[in-house]
Amino acid sequence: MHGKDLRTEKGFLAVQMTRGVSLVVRLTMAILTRLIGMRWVVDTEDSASGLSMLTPTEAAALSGMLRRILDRKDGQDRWMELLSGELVQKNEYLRTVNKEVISLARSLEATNAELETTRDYLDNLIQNSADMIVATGQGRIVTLFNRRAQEILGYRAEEVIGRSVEVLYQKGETKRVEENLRIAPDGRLMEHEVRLRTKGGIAIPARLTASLLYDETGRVTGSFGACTDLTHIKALEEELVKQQKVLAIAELGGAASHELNQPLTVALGRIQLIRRRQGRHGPYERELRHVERELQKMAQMVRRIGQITRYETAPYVGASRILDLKGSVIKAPKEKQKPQRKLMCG
Amino acid sequence: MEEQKILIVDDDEGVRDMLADFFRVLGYQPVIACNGEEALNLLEQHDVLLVISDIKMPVMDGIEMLKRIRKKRGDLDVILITGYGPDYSWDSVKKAGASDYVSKPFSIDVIEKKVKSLIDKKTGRRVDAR
Repeated sequence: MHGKDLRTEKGFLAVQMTRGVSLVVRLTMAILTRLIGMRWVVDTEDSASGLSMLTPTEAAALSGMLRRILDRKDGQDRWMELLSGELVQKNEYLRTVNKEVISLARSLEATNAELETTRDYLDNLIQNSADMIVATGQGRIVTLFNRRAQEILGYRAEEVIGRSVEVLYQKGETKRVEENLRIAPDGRLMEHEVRLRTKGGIAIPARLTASLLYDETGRVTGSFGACTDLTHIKALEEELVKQQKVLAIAELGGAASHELNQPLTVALGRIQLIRRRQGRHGPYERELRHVERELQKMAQMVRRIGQITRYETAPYVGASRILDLKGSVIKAPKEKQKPQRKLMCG
Repeated sequence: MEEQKILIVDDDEGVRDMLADFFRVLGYQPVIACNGEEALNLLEQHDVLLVISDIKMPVMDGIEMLKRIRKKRGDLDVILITGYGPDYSWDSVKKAGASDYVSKPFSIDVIEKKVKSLIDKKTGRRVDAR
């Protein structure tokens, strides 16, 4: 150990004390150093008491070494130094570990804050989505029920979370969705039309995009679905179909009325011409009147066909239905007519 | 005295013939055209008292024909015949320059009354209200 700095030697504790340090302190230090597995060393001024704490062999071994070490002291021995190579190393190590722990803690704190922000953002996104968003866990149990879903289906989140998702579907629909999800590629169901059910029991047509959720082992742990309410779109579609029907019928009606009016005009005109030639008391006047009356009925029907503005049907033979000519005509407000105008004869 | 001519314009043969017979009964000489273009040509050749024309016709419809007549003959009376529907109201055909209009299926009594009314107005005679 000759020539070595005791402060870097493992297992030694060098203690330099002022002369005024009491025996009690020194003894305490000696005991403490022993307890922590160090060797107790004191300065030459009071080596007897210090060395007395060591075994005779240890004391002999250290005595010379201590002298050499303490010979280097510059006399500024007013402060006690507790130095040990191992402690310094341990301290350095601990300091490094401490720094790393602090750094890690800060990093974790930052990550946590970031996660909090991300979670808030995602939560905000889910809650404020224009679509209904519902997630389920094991056993079809609802775990997420966003604001839009609450608005449309009339449940509060706490009324649904923890219950089976079946409560949100029309009868038989859950099974159908699950079956489709099962056979869907990648467990993802796209733009699937479903019938939801509100708290009040009203059916809501919706478009569902859903996917199964898996754990790291590939086991299904639940599902996640976004639903768009199609009520308005369905109503518009129905209205569009109705309008298309009306348009088609109106076009057909217009064409039919135009075409049928030609022979009607001719037939009615000819009856009037016969009457002009033979007078109102001709031999066939009775027959002419019958024919004319029936033609007038036809003219009335043609008039209605030409005025179709909506699609209404009426029962016909069996289960079939036919266009209700009376119901399908809304009379437009009368335009200014010439006072003497008279469309029909008779 | 030479018979006064009335130009009948309609793409439907039945209507044309019926109106022609009717005007003959009334004492007029019918001149017949199948569409607006033909009618304009006939107007170049004949001095007609009045035109009675359908609106929906191939080649040239009644409204277009009327517009062209108005460019040359502002005083010539033209009665337009319409079908049912919102396309041609009295206001719209009047705006196009028609003297009057009737809707199909019309009564020949109404045609007679309208024709006489227009002719009397032109000649300054009192309208014979039936």
